[in-house]
Amino acid sequence: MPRPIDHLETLTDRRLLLSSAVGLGFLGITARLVQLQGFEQAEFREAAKENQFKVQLRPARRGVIYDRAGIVLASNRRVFQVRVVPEAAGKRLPEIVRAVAGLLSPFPDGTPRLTETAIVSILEEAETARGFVPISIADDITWEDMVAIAVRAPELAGVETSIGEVRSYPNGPEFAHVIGYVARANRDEAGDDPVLRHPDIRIGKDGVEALAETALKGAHGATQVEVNAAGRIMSDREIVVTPADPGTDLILTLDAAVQAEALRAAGDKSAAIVVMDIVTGELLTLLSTPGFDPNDFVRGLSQRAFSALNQDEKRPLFNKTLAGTFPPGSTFKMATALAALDAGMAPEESVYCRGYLPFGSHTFHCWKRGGHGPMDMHRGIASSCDLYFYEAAQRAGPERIAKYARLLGLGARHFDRPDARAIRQRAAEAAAAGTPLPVHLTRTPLVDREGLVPDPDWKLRVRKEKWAAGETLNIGIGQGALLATPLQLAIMTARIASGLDVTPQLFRNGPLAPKQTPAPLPIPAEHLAIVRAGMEAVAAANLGLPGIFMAGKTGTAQVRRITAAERARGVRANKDLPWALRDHALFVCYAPVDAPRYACSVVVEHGGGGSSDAAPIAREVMRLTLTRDPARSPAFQLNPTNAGLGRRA
Amino acid sequence: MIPSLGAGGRRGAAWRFEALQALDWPLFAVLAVIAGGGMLMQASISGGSLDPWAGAHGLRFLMAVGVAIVIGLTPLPWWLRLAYPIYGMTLLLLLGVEFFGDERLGAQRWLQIGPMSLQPSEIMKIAIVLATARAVHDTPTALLGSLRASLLPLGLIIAPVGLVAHQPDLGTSILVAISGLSIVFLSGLKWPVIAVAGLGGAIAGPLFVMFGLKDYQRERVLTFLDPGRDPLGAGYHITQSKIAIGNGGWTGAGIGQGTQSRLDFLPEQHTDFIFTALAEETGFVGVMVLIGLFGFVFLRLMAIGADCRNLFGRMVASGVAVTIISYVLINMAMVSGLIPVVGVPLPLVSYGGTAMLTVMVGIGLALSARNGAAMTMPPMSSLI
Repeated sequence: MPRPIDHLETLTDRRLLLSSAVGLGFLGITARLVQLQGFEQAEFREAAKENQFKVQLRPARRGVIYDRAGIVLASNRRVFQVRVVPEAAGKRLPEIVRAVAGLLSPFPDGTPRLTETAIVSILEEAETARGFVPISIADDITWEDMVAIAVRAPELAGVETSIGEVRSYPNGPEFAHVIGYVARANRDEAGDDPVLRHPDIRIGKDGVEALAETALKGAHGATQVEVNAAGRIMSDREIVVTPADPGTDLILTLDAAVQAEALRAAGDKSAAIVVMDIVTGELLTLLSTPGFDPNDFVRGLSQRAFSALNQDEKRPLFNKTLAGTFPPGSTFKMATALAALDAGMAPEESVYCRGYLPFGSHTFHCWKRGGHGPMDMHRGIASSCDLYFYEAAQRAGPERIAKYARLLGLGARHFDRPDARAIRQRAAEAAAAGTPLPVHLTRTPLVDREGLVPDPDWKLRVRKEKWAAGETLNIGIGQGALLATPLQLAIMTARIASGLDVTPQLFRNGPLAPKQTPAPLPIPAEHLAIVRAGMEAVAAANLGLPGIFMAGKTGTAQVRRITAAERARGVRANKDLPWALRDHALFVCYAPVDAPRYACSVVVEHGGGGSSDAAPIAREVMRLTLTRDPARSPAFQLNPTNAGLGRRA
Repeated sequence: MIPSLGAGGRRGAAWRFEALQALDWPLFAVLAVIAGGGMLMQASISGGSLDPWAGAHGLRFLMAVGVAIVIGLTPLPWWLRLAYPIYGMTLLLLLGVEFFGDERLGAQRWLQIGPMSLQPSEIMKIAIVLATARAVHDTPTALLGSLRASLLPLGLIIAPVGLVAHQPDLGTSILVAISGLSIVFLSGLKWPVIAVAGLGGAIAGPLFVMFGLKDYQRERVLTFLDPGRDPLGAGYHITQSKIAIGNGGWTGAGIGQGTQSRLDFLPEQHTDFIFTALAEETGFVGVMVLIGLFGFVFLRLMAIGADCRNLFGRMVASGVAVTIISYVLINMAMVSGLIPVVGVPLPLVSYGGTAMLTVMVGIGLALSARNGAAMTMPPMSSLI
């Protein structure tokens, strides 16, 4: 039964309508494509490029640090690293980080490489960082650990192993305090700075690494790499946006051989040893013992190892050469002598020593119980007679002694810088306001302590007391409130030996190298000659090298008060006392006597006597210094051939 | 269902050979070009390799062509007779999914029968065409276009649409509805009825979005309205596909040169989002060519319908045309950000065996209608 025509016409109409609707639909889609592919093309091209390319930080090679002879003190070593991209790990991140931690071999002392605390801090970091920034799980892992991780890569989403560079300190603890170390910026330091938050970026945390951070770090560069949607790098083709500008290589004034000898001579003692060129002020040795291995800090230290360092009574983390302040003891007597000469005391004037001096209600003693008999200035210095210097101190008066102490470099910072002063002031203001600054904002790396040169003015100002006459006697023999750093003692000796206002120098190149040469001190040459002659006669200054002689001065600084009762019973020997109550042993010297070039100060903390415990160390260090004679050796120069030498070494 | 079992014997074989010769080979040629384009895109996004998609895609197309030929050679009356049984079976399978189905990707769509895994909602796309066409075919002439005559086809549509939407598979349920409703529309449903139904839909639509959708579906609709809302979440698809399409520009980046396609910025790219790869690599020009090819297929199928002297063939051919072209329109509109993401593949271009088979079975049915165009089949028993 055929359908009626009219109905077929209806069907035709409907078919046309439907086809038109389809045509309209395609028209709409075409219009949309004209919009997307035509009008908005440029915009989407840009977005596609952003999708396709990721800007990657190219850390600049950190400057290598050399000693004066070109020996590498700090360089960059290639290592295996493991990190995780939080975005790629997704919700399984904690599980994945723990799995990686489980694969890492433990520290040599048996503690796990990553403690639960460390894992939690990694996870916290991952939470605050942007998802595609890789978070470091561990740097410097072993080859075996890396293989173990690589094998399990399929289950460890987002985990990447890579070869990176870490800072390396080939000499280990020898230069720990002066060079310092680098580590990742902590959260306070990094703030919102994406560069500082990048896992490849290390900053100097102490010593030269921190002080010369700007010069060493160079300028980081950036490259574009093609990535896929997961952020994985898809081709080797890199487009350099900004090339990295490597950091400046620095040459220090230090001499690695002398530093090593100092460490050897100090043995396991808690000591500070400074060797200085008395003409230029260049430091050849700046050693504080015991030390620590800065490589451990770069790698990350187990909590236990850090506590051990931190709680050691010999304070291995503390730089005693710059920040340790000690009573200078008899090593200060040269300053008293110069002040007395300035006050008109004749060097040949005789002072009789009978071993004690009643003064007011008190009795002052000479270190030699029976007394030295008649003393002039030369013999007073040579035998370090306390009685002679009680007299000299009274003649000079406390102000003049303080003046000479300062002329010789005591009571002042020598490594201070305007920025460090500003930091101290800010910290002091914040502390006064009751809102102390966080530690990292108060750090002033390598700034030395100023010690203390007391005078009546200071006493009135700080202690709100009048100066007691007996204090002058104490200051005269380097005791009392007087405090000096081992660095200051070396400067003092260098100034006496050269007559120049030498200041310590650590850098041979770069922005921190010295800009002016030392000028003569306002001290009459004949006064200095008298003092030097006394130092030449000090028995402990026997160097043991044929034809080369050393001048020196011993010092033994009491750290406890000896009561009259104990003195009556007999003073207890140092070896019978607990370590922390023993005397500090000090020795300062310069050599050679006929044409002085090197000065040295040795402080052995609670070491006993200056001549028995400090002088032998100084002797060994000076012997090597004179043999090597670094001041007259050809200087190491950076040139294109050896620039960056330490990198692949 | 194999034609040689028919009553014709030798004469039948000759008829079939002639029928084979008379098959719409230009249509097959265009379909092959489309599928070839799909293969090219599959190869491009897998870095120029036949693995894992392009090779299988080509092979499946050849097999699907075979299926289409077999279906096309089957006499049209067979399909008229089989329309309801096929529909009924498929509806039962859908009910089976409802109760025994496998859950994949958060939706129950698959039914495991022995070693075969079946997606009854895909079969339903064809079954609905057959069933509504049959219902229209059986309607007494006087009643055609009336509301009363349309109640049966509407009922046939609502049951599977509801079941598929409940799986939930919004894209397929919409497609099933469009296929069925287009046949009802073509059958001449009167305008007042359409107006009332349209009004009802306009009211029910928003209510359905707010209360009838699963969370993820509603999320897609809302994200569609503001893709920037969640750039790495639900809006990611739309943002990334727009970037890829826009990056293609007028002439495209070149085959294998599309950075967005090559670098996996688009998930499900070899399936529902294959259009973005095409748009990026061949640009506006390439897309226009593809639209032209699909337009040819659509018009060709509509023409087959128009040439049919029986209502069933008309409805089947037009229904298949509408089904295929709705896939195309919805897919393109979806990936270019005109409508929410609903999970509809681009016919013959997207990777996926079931969808390809569905399309080619439809083509086969249209060809069967073409072969039987001259028949004047009387209505079967009327259910109205």
